[in-house]
Amino acid sequence: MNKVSYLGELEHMLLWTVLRLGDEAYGLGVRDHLEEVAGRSVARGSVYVTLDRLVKKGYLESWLGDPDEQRAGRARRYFSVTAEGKAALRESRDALVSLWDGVEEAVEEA
Amino acid sequence: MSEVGGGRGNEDGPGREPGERRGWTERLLARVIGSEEAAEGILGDLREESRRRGVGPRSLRYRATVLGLVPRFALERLRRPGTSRAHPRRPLSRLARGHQSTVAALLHDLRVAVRSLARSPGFTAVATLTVALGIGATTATFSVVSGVLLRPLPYPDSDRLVRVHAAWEGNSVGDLSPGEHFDLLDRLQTFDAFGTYGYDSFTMIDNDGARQLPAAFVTAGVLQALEIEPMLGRPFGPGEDGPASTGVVVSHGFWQRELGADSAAVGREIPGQGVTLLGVLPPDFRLPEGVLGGPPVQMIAPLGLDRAQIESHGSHFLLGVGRLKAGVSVEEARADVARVGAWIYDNHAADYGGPMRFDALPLSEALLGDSRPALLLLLAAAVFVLLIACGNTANLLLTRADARRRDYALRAALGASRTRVVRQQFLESLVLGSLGGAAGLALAYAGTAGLVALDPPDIPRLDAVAVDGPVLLFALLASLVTGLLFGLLPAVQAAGRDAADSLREGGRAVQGGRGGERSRRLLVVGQTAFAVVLLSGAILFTRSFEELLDVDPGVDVANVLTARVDTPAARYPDDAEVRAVYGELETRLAARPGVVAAGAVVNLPLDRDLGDMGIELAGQPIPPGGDKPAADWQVVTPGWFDVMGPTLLAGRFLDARDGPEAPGAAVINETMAERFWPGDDALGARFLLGGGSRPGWVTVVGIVRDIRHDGLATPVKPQFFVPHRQFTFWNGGGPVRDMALVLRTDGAPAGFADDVRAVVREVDPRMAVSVVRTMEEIRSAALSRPRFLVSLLGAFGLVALAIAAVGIYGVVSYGVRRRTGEIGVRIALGAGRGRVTRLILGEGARLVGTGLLLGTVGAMLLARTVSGLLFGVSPGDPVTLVLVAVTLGAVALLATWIPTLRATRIDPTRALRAE
Repeated sequence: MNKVSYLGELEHMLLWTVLRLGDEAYGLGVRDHLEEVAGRSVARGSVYVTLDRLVKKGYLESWLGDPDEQRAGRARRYFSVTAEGKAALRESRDALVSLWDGVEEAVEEA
Repeated sequence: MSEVGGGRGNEDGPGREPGERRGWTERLLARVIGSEEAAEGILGDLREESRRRGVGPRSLRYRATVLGLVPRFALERLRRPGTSRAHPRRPLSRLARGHQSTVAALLHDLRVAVRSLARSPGFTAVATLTVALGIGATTATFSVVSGVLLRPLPYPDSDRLVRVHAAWEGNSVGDLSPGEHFDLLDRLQTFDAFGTYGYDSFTMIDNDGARQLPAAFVTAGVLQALEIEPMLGRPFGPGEDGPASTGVVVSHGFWQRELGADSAAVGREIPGQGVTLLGVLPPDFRLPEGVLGGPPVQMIAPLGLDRAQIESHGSHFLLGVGRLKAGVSVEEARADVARVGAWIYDNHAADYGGPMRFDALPLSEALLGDSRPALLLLLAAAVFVLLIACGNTANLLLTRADARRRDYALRAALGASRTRVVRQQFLESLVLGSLGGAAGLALAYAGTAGLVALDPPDIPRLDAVAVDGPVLLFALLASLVTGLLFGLLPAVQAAGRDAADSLREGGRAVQGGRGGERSRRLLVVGQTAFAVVLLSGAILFTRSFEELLDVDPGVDVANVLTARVDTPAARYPDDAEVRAVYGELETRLAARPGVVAAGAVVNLPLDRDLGDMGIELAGQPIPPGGDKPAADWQVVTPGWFDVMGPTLLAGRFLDARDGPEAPGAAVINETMAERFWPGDDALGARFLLGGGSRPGWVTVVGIVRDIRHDGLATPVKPQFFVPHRQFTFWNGGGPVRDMALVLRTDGAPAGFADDVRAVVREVDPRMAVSVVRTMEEIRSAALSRPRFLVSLLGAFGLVALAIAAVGIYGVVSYGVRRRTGEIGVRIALGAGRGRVTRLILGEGARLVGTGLLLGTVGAMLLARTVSGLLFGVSPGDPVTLVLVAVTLGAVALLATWIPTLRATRIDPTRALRAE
């Protein structure tokens, strides 16, 4: 996969959310936060599948926490953005910025 | 979901507390997710979330949520295959560790199997029907085998009962003589009880007229050996079975009908019989031979052997039965009997025509052994039908599996392991097998009723045949084994299939894998081979049966009526009177309009076997230690020859000249003439009847062609006929009292039964007429066992042929469908109809030809094992082989024809577009 593959919308949002949540970024927490910030509900399956895909792409890393009574003794899977993930975010941002360049006025006028 | 305990694997890292056991929805999801870490996180999230919302882990809602995620992950894995294995997949055994969850998973798969079968009712119906035919045939046959062969005889500890018999060298089983009875009784050491008996009849006269009822005459040892416990009264004991004894026991039916079920009748005389009722037998009681069927004996009377009067050991007419001491093996008993037998022979060698062997065998074997090979042959044939049916079903399943390759691939992609796919396949087979088994059981019920209705008199104990516990168990096992058997190949195929390949092929339903193709062909070859074996069996036995029908019995059985009558000593104390009565009957019967001739005989041909008698040939002294000759004896009135029409080869028949005062005369058969007077003219030769029977010395006045008295397929022994008016039994026993009347009629003989009764009434109103039969009926009964065998084998052969034909049709037409494209190209390139026809027919021919070849070899090998049941045809009978090949070829051609036609009509443009 070429480095300059663009991040999808959900991928973007998930990377941001994981960054924002820091040490508390685990599946359900990410979903809750995403709904809060984005103001919309995101399909459960899409969140998990996408998180997994980001791990496989190397943009996120994950580890299991301690078993949790609240979760029937199951652990939380925590995520954090890797250097690669941050790079991808940057690249994506740069690309977007250059894309935005010169069209902002047109958008504002409408 | 609430199952607690049983930790997860340790792949999650050290030091972790085991989490709650996953429910089946959770396990499914975990499988689809693929990575254990991701699964742990996600499942934990789901529980945390549901807890927050107050949704229980066992609720439908929770399960729905979990299952709702499955397609999303499955889709992801299909899109990006091979990227999900962050952790090795957990093996199924660990997944389904707990007993409960295994059951749950099985139940789930079972539901899936049932649903999947319900979705294709056509397939399910055809498969079920095929299996049902196989299981039905097998189960029905097994019910007969179980009822006839496996059920113990109805006596206490019946495995301790043995038949004791004597036999001339070369003969298998023979009866015992009175002298041997006493010697055995005195000297046997391994027996608790020993006795001998014979069957006869007695005449019962009341207001309804006279009837002859079956009776048995036994020594007390028989009652002891069989452990007969009368329902009322007592049996007669030792000392009560001598010549002067008059105490009898009667059947329950006799007691009810004739004695008004009066308990007070016990201890009193039975009216008109001159005997005293000692006991009444329980309702279902039967003497050993009665166990085989036939009318039950109504009276058991003392045999009346007199130790003081034993002169000869040579007259064999008694059946021996004994009960072994507890713990004595049959082998020990045989040695004991042989030891006593050797003593008897050594001390009475002069009484015997040749070396006499004495032996014992289990009573059940003695009674049922004859029917064993035939029944086992039928069972084997039925199992073959079942195997062929299995082949067809396996074929159907393979085809169906091919059509569902994409389905399997998808399941594999969804995380189903091969084991799981195989299990699914097996479950479907088992469900099919059970369905087929249930339907087959219904068929077996009907079939068993049909078999019993065929009522072959020679297959014993048919009344004991029923679909009962052992039979049900057999059907259940057969269903399961069948299901496994025909599920095996498709399952192996499914296991060997590569999911990715199947998906890449784009899931074209018709595209069968190479392996599948090979299995299918193999199955058809196997089916054909089995069908060939069955078919050749059926044809072989049909030919054998035809040979049997062609056997000349030596007498003319057409238009002959027979009936048994008796002249009991109680009413005919004078011997001359007995002879006069038969003469009178013969004259009066012959005078009836429509009656061509009339006579009387002791034993009817093809009905009862003849006994043999030691004889002495004039001018041929037996060298010391040499063999004394013996021949089968028959007593007739002169009219018998006119009625039965044996072929006279030399001399004359017995006639009016051979009166009581005339010199002793005998007619002998061809075999006797050749055996005892080889190269000489037997006419005029003289021989002495054994045992002091009269007329003593007789002169051969005629020679007749052999009569197959003991059975159409039984070799003929030396046989002689002496006149009723001259003959008396050994030891001054008097004339033959119980005879069969025979009359030749000029029309359908059955219509003359009333004439017989009328004439008998005229001669003696108290004389009973029993067992009125035509000779054709007797011949037909003698053929009943081979007929039974042939009709069943024929039916099995036809079913096998039909199933195999369907199999061949299925495979060839499947091949055509699969090669539609290829054939289309051929046609587009100019291949004519003939070419395409040859292509498809050739394919069918190769399969059928291979099967035919293998089957023929198998049939020839197997036929040898049943050659004992064949008559007049060799196991490798070439006519049979040709007939099988032609029949099977014709059927196979028919089965291949339709798909071939379809192939020639393939429209190339359409075929190619479909590609």
